[in-house]
Amino acid sequence: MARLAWIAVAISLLLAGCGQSPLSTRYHAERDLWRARQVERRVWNNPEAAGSARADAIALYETMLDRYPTAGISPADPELRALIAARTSARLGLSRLYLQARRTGRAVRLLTEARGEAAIDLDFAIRLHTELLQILSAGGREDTLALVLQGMADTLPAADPDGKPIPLVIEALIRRADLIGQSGRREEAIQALSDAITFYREAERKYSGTETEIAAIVQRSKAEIRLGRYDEAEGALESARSLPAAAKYEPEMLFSQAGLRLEGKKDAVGALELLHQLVTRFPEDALAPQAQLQIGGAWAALALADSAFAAFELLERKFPRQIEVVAQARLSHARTLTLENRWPEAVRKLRSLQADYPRTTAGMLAPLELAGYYEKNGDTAARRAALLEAAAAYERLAEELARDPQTRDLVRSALDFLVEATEKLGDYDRAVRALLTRADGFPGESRSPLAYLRAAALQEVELHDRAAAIATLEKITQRYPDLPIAAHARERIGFLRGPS
Amino acid sequence: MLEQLNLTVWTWVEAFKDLRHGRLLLPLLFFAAVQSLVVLLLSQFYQPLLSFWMVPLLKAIQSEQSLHYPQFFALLPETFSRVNLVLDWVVGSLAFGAAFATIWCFAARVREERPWTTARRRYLSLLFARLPGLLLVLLVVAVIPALFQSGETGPTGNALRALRYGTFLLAVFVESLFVFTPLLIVSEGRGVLSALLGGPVLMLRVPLATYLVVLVPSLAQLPISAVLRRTDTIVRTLAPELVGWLMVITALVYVFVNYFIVSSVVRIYGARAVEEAGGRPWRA
Repeated sequence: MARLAWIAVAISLLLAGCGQSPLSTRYHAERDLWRARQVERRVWNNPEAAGSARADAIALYETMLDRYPTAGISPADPELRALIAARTSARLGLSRLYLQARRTGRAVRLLTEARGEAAIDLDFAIRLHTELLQILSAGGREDTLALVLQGMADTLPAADPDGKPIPLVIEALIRRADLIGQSGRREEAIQALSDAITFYREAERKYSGTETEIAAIVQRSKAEIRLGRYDEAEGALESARSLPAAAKYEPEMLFSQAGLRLEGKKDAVGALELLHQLVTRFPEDALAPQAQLQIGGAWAALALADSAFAAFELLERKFPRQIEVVAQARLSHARTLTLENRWPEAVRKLRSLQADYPRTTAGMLAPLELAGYYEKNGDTAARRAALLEAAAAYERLAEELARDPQTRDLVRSALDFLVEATEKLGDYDRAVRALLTRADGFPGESRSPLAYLRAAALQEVELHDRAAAIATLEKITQRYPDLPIAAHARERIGFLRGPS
Repeated sequence: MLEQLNLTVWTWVEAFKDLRHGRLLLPLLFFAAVQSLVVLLLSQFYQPLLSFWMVPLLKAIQSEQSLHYPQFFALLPETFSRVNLVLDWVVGSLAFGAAFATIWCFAARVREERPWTTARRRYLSLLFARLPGLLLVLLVVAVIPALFQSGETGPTGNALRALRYGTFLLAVFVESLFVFTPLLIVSEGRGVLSALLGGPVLMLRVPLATYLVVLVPSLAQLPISAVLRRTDTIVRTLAPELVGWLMVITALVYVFVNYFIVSSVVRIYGARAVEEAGGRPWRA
């Protein structure tokens, strides 16, 4: 027995002094990753009281990444891939914690530096880029986002090993071009779209006969549309629809082509033909309700109001459960009535929309539309009454839905509309409260810093309250220190405080 | 039947009384120590000195998943149970042989025998004599439940419970059929075939008592199995390494389970053995 005990001790000491191999490095890395994750879980279970748990979790992740580098492991060793999987998971966990600690810049740097290592495996690369894009899309880092999108198109394949398209990569260059266009750099955006078209043509050639070829054609057609080359876009979509692999994408292509004809070529008749095809051949498809809505829009564009009304009413009968689209249809119906100068009917339609679908974007827009109509007709009193009613409705809605995480988008929309309504009423105090509630309630949303900025501007200019404006601007500098808007806020604070 | 129940209770009382003689546990503690050593070696599979043979072994008896942390610990009970099949046969034959010999010599007050020497001398016989019993238990525990598996799902709810407890009771019965076999080899010096035939014959003379002395201590297996089936929860909510410690604790618990079984079987044998050539009559 004693002999056995000595053997066990000898073995333990021997194992302890064994040194490292790629397998033991990887195993220890996974062990340390597990421990860091357990601490991170405590942070997410109680985010308000995270405090030291977050600092501990960050320290554990950082130590794990420092302690188990990939240097020294042969690229042919299968353990390298497993080690990189663990390091990628650690980086993703660490980036989430950096974001929670409002160290967005560090999160972006961490993930950007990790791209090279993660390239060894497509799944790792996709996970990393998805997280990175989500952070960069939150606002204020458009240039970095554009660079990352270009990098993705340059380094990652457009399809997985099974030939299925990877949406993140396929859509990257279109997103990049849109981003550049939104920042006002028109020439650069045109060049970006041309580069995107080259990329997609290459993808079509490389992945010929697969779903990826179809996806590339669809994206190319979007680029052509943005360049105003409608015939080329339509030609691309027509050719794609004839390919064998296109069956799954046909509703989407019909919809895109119809939109192209309606918005781009102003060919409402041509659009109607395609939209009817979509609704008839694919009645169960997710795009069928939208297509029916577009049919009504196309009839309205042709000034055939009765046909438009029939199309909107048909949508309400055929797709009663698609409440967002039905609400949109009713709003479009009301707008078409105003174009026909049928005001009383339009007002009734808007009121029914507001009453039947209060918790849809179109339903929330209805009171503002009503106020707009009264303004056009010069009825100031009715306009004011509509705006007051709207503001009260938005406040009530925001309060009622605030606790339900499923309705956060609606709460945000309600607050945005509340700001618009109260500004139109000249009730700037209420508008500032709404802006601050919106920014405080959605700290990670890209327009929240802008909401603070707008609130500060109203406090300074309309309410003549410099101290309050400074306090609001300081929220930007504290909560978004890495964003360019923070520099603008600091400048503004300096100006408001005046020379010392 | 009442006589057998009395016999059963008497064997347990005697076994309890003899617990104070620690040396009776030594062979079983040796086996538990070997099992714990194997758990330690398995948990260190990634060390350079062990990996070259541990990794292929783990891949063969488990899966690639078992080479990762913490999945290794979630799968450890299943991995160890497969390794233990061979361990039980190879090392357990020696350990149980020595355990039977130790307790028999103690109970029968036979001083000139050296139990470990006896067990080593009769090792090959013990090895081959234990094999049929182990294979039958394996058949009951592994193969029969697999027959009830339909596609990717098996029985659930009450059907699963019935299958689980049914195979447990059947496995205990198979074990009790062959429980006298090692004892006949070390105490009477019988050959493999003679012991294989003699064990069930002896069991059938006192079926209820034999079944009870194997069944009741074996009931400890039920809560242990219930805990070890939930290693995913233990790994997720507590610590993965705890599973390793649970395996070691299980080995120690089984020291006492096996002690009671061996001790009771020896006393039943002593009380009921017929004097045959080479047999040792019981002196109560």
